[in-house]
Amino acid sequence: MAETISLASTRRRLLLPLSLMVAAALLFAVHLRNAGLAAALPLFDTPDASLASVQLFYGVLPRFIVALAAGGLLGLATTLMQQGLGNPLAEPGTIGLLSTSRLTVAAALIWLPAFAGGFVLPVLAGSLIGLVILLGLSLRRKLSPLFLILNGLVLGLVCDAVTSMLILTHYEEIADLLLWQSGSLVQDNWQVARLLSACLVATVIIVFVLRKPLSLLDLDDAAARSLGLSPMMARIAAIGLAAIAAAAVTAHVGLLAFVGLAGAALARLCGARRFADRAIFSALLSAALLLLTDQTMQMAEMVMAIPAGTVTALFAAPLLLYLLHSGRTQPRTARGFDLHVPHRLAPGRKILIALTALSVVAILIALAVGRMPEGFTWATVNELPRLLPWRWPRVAGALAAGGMIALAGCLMQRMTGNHLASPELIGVSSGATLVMLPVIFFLPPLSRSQTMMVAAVGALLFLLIALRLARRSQYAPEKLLLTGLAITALSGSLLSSAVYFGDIRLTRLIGWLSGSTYAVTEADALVALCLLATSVAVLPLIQRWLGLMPLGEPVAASLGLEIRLARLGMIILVAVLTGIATVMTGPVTFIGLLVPHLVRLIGLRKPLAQTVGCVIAGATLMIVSDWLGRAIAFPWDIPAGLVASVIGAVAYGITAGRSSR
Amino acid sequence: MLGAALAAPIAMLSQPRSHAQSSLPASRQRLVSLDLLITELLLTLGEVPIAVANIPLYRRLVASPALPDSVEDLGPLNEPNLEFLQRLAPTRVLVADWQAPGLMPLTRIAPVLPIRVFAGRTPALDHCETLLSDLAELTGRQAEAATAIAATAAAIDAARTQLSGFSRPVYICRFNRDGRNIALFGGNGMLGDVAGRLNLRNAYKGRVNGAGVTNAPLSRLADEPDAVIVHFDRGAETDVALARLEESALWHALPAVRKGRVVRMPVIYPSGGLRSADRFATQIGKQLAKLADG
Repeated sequence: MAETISLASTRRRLLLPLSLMVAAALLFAVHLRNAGLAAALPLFDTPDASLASVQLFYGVLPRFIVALAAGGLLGLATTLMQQGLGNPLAEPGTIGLLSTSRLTVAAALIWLPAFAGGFVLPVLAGSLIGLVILLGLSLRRKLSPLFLILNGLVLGLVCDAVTSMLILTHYEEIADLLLWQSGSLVQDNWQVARLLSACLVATVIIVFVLRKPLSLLDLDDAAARSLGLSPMMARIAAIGLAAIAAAAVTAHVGLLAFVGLAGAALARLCGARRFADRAIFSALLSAALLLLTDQTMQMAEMVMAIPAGTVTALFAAPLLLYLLHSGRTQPRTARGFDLHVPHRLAPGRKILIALTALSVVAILIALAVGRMPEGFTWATVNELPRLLPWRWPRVAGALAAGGMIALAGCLMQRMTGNHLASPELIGVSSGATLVMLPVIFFLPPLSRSQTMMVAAVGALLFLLIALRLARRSQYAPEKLLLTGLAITALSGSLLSSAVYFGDIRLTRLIGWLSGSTYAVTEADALVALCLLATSVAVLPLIQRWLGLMPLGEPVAASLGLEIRLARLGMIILVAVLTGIATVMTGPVTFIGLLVPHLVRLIGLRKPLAQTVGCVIAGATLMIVSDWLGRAIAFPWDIPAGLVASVIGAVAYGITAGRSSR
Repeated sequence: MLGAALAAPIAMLSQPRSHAQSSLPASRQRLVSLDLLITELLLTLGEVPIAVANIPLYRRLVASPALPDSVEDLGPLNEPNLEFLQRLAPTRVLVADWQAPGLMPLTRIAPVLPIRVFAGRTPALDHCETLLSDLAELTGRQAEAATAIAATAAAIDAARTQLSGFSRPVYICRFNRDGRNIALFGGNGMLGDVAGRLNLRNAYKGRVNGAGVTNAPLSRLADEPDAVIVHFDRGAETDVALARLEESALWHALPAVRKGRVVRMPVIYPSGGLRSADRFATQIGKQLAKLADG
């Protein structure tokens, strides 16, 4: 409470939120004056029917309130989520609930176009369904935060994959989704302003009432329990409340990425430590940030309307990167996260042989079976020479990409001792996207090899940035992920602005982003296969590194490991693998994160066995996904990366469920 | 081969052709189109492609000229089904230039011709006429091209005469489902260009994207108090939007709405070709002339 803090420091801590608020309010005033609206209406009078006063009363004023209320709600939601998950980089989007809402909105737009409820019902339904699935999956581990986050990430990735599929196949019908997800605060009545303000007040009251149990979540579970608190109940309350608050905002104004996260991060920077302080500060800061952004964008509206949601991440992501860089946030580390797999009795060799057999079968089917208008056909010997030139580069490309990404994920998880590390989660793929976006839109059409070069440069650049930032924290899981999240949010925000301003050319980018093997050429496939073979051949040589590095640097060094050399070697290997695979098939999400887990779950845990297992399993998963993608929706071609996400998630759900029994 | 084609897509189109296959009689050409505008232009010439990509999208967006049922669907615009395409044995595949880099494998089936579909700085209609003439030369249907160009010019002339007494600025837009945002058409895009040729003053003068459209808040429609609002009917989506607008104070405060100067008309593909332009001119001419009388 207040007695523990001296007055001076309170004042200093309030400086940042206050100055942001004042700046935003000033902009609002300038905006009012410029628009010549202030004269149109004496304050709090009923508006007459004149256009200017209607615009002021039903447009400008509610928009001001909506920005404040939405920002405040997001700030609170984020703090609650962080409290519930014990993780300073959680936000409503972290556990996949925004992705589930996005999916339900897309589905509603396509299959219930006359749905008069607009986006509100789909979003609420999506968030609720997502929350139920997530809690259901995570209950087995008593809602252990990292397990929750992992489940949330999986849920989010799958939903995003399906949404991308819908955008690709229904680009036209889904135009409104693209607008909604760009997060526009434009208002024409008081309904939303009233509703969000009410939500904000309700949330504040609930948080105030529950502040004691929520604060106790700062302690570890055992300590909390000894104080008479059920950590699980408190966690469900925090997460549920956060999800509802975020859904209310999302339903009415769209996706506002990063506002809450930036608010919460700034709150910590201001020195707010305890839960109550953080809640107040992040609510204020988020509100100020959103207002500032929206007012700035309104200035530019005469030339071009830019929704707040597409720019919040542009403002907030660099801020987060800076915070990480300056090392002022000290996340609680949670290194020892593991899925606690029981040791299996089957020896590694048998499992590997079985995996290899499976992959051979997959390759044969993918090469021989195809689909034509009349149905599935088994290619005859006569037809094969005609069909193979189409099929083998795709199969080989899928094999190589799947193997490479899975291996890169496995290496990264071993190198950082962090089970959530993977190329796509630390922002490498998003980095490549970031570089690809302007290229597709502003440069004349490039040839395939030029496109590949650009994507490769992007991927490498962002891998270096991510790893450089992460090194400062000895690859603590949170920092790695936070860096990745920042880069992902940045590219996501650019992508949604591109979608907002763009035209049909965008479908090509989305296609590439979904991980498609369509354009793989023979040369690509051969190069990638050679590279994969070389990497696998290197694995026995670095076996010792792989075994020692997960133990952490001090232990590994004391056991005689040349840590700098080992790390450099691994980084280069990961960079090359990710770069080449990303360039060839686009960012294949999921395989890098999940295949290493799956392989461990089926019992391959020794360094060499796990890495080799990852290569085979990743390759098989990609080949199967590619073939399914070609066959299920003939003549439509579903990108392999999307199919792989769905298959991977199902496999993950089953294995994780069984192993924890 | 694709590289060379990319370097000078249009130049290649206009070259006098010496290949054996190009001198085939029109009916023997087995063309495939992977772009909506190209499909529309081919059908305008009376040249029915053997297959196009994404038939449902064409039927939904462009609709006229109608696509015969004999045309096969190849799937996605950017990733047409290769094995199916190979079996159809086309003599030439027409693609938009922005699609071309991803369609390298197609060159093994048939020559791929990338076509610059986005007009850039050229007015969209001029650009379409050039494309149509080039396609006519390719298919040997110069007469049909001349007829189509003349027909569109005539439709535009007729509409312009109809609108000679009409002096109000016009917003050409589509309402979003949320009733708060709209898509505005203008600039050099097909709709903006046709409006210009009809001597209509486009009330929206801001920036538009490559397809001649931009998103904006509803309040943009208040900038020109004298304007007429022309909006496209996209069925259920527009019904939802209008129901929302009915509840909006801002909507009812717009001078155009108060004076009943709002025109709903069948949707036109905003990046369409001559036939779309023709329909748009006729439609808007008839509807606005009614307004000028009343």
